[in-house]
Amino acid sequence: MKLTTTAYPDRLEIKAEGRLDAAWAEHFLEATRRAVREGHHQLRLDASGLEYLSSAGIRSLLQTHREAAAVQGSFKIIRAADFIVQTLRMSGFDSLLALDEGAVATDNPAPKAPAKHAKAGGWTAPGMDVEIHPLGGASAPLRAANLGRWQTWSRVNLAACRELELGAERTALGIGTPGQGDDLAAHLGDFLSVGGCTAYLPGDGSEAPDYLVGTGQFVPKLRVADALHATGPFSHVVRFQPDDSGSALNIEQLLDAAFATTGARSVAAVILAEIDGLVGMAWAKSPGLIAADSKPAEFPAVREWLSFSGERVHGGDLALVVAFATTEALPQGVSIPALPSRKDWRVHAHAAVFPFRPLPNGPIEMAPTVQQLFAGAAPQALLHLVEDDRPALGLGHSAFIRGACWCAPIQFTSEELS
Amino acid sequence: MLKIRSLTKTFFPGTPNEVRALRGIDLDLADGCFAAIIGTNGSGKSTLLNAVAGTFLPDTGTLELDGHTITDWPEHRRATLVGRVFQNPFAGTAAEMSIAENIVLATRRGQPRGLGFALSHKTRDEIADRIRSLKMGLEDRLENPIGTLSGGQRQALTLLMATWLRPKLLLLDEHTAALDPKSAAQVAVLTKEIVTREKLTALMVTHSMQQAVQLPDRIIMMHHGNIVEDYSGERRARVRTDDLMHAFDRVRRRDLFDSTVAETVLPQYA
Ligand SMILES: Nc1ncnc2c1ncn2[C@@H]1O[C@H](COP(=O)(O)OP(=O)(O)OP(=O)(O)O)[C@@H](O)[C@H]1O
Ligand SMILES: [Mg+2]
Repeated sequence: MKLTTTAYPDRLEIKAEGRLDAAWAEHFLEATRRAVREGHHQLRLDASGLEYLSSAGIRSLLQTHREAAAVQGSFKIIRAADFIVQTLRMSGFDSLLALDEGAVATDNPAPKAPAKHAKAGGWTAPGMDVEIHPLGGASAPLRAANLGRWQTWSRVNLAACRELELGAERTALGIGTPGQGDDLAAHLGDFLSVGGCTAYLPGDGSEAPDYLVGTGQFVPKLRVADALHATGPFSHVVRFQPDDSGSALNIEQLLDAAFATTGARSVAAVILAEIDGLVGMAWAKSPGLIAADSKPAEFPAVREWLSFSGERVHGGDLALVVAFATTEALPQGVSIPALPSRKDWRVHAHAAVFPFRPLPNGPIEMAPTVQQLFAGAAPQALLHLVEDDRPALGLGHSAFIRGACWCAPIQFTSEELS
Repeated sequence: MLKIRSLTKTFFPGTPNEVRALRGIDLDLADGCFAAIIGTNGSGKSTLLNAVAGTFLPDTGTLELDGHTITDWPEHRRATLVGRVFQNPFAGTAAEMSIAENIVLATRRGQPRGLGFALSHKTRDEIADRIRSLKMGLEDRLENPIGTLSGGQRQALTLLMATWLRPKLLLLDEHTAALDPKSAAQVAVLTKEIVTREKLTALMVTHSMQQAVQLPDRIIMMHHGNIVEDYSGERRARVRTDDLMHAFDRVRRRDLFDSTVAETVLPQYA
């Protein structure tokens, strides 16, 4: 079987020539999956060159239909020969046929749907194609705060760990655990929370994160040694993908989009995107166990405490990132590390990794999208993102391919809000 | 049954080729325990088995087996307590001799030689019985030269010979690695059967995570001449191949986390 794809402004046509049978069904499905992954959610099968359609072939058509529908897309068969029409009718799947569409004269193919450049100010979105959608929320800055205020590498004062409610309106990241008492000391680790969904990696050698999802009356809570959080609706969603160069995007580019879109100097960003690879760290051992007179940050002792990704990891998966970023002076008590590649930026970002699934196009909403994500699969990894800018050996940045970046202007307060 | 204390072995000490193959191994293996040793290439698995078998004497440390301090025993003396199977199915048997002859040779090791190979009916029946337990149909081929058998059949026989006299300790070094997947699985199952039936204490080096998860009572992971993971009891019961892969990943990442990484990432933890 031979597959040829042509992109039109409103759809992607896949022309199949030859036999669509058990031997080719998987190949066909792979092609349509790739198309959906690349953002083509309106798919048409040009069946004019199809010589044979078996039950396995029909199954692959139905599966494509299902997967396109899952991202609010569509899949139809056009220009089908009579025998294809008959086959589909007999098996009761003629709803896949779009008999009228194929008759319409074809318009000129456009290799790629032009991105809507509703860009802010003089910002040109270097390296990426973006679509910016306001979300209708208030555009006044959300109040953001630092709770817990643990100084990294100092002994954790367990009594000073605070309870943080992680409801649907809250966006947060930091170091915490659901436990109390001794449990608290032994299990502190990185977490992030969006839309009432919290993923945390216990710092007890666990490989996979655990998670808490708020439902109805249940609001997840963590005890935190240190956390950044902001509460309220986000103002925009930026849909992004690489420009024609095809180079994956780094977090600096996405935060640049967040700064430009909100016009603010401090932002909260939630990124949900297919990733090319992440570079990050995780607590291998709970910082709650740091002894008062120890030097945990010295090499090689630090290897007991932190685990390094060692390479760019999780390429092809989906990452949910929470980031707080600022270009202005922070109030007393709030601390965010400087970004090595851009010393005037301060950024703190955590990422949770999920198996890939395509996202619908357009202005998708943050909380429902993240809730669906957690309902569909458990997070597989959780990382504190870092940049590895070592000359020659460095792993560089985490890299993102295609997805959504929700953003909100924020204003940090020196108060320890909980 | 086996007690290893602070065992070290350095090859080519004081030269540029120095390899610290064992860096202070402590290991207690209970009577009847079947343990797998996994680990990256060059982590010291074979060296540990060799140290126990007496291929060389350790630099420091002590070895105790079945109540004897064997640290200074030469290899042939330890062979009275230890059975071994190696990776190569062609090692440990004589190709031109028959199955029966090989077995008689192997089972008389350490005992005075009898009167040649004139086998009594009783011995022959006993050999046939034991070989029947392999379920490979070899009991009818006792006179065939062992060289005419497949690798899997030979490795099964080697295993049978190594355990014939119920050694205090059975050492298996990747004994299925050179076999095709089907024979490897067959020999793995056979290993479990024999070790269980004879209640043997055994150490098995393997690169197969599947074998490590399916066969032994305990899983030991080595890295750079150290034991870095030891799954026993409850932890052993719930371990899956994924967990072992993660553990490998962890030790590999730890190696990559050098001082230059520390310098780069620590400032990003303000
Ligand atoms: N007889 C020897 N002389 C010199 N060096 C040796 C000797 N035996 C082992 N080594 C070295 O000691 C280290 C450990 O080797 P060993 O064979 O025990 O590893 P292993 O864990 O069995 O690896 P593999 O999975 O590759 O079999 C290696 O660096 C090896 O080169
Ligand atoms: Mg070896």
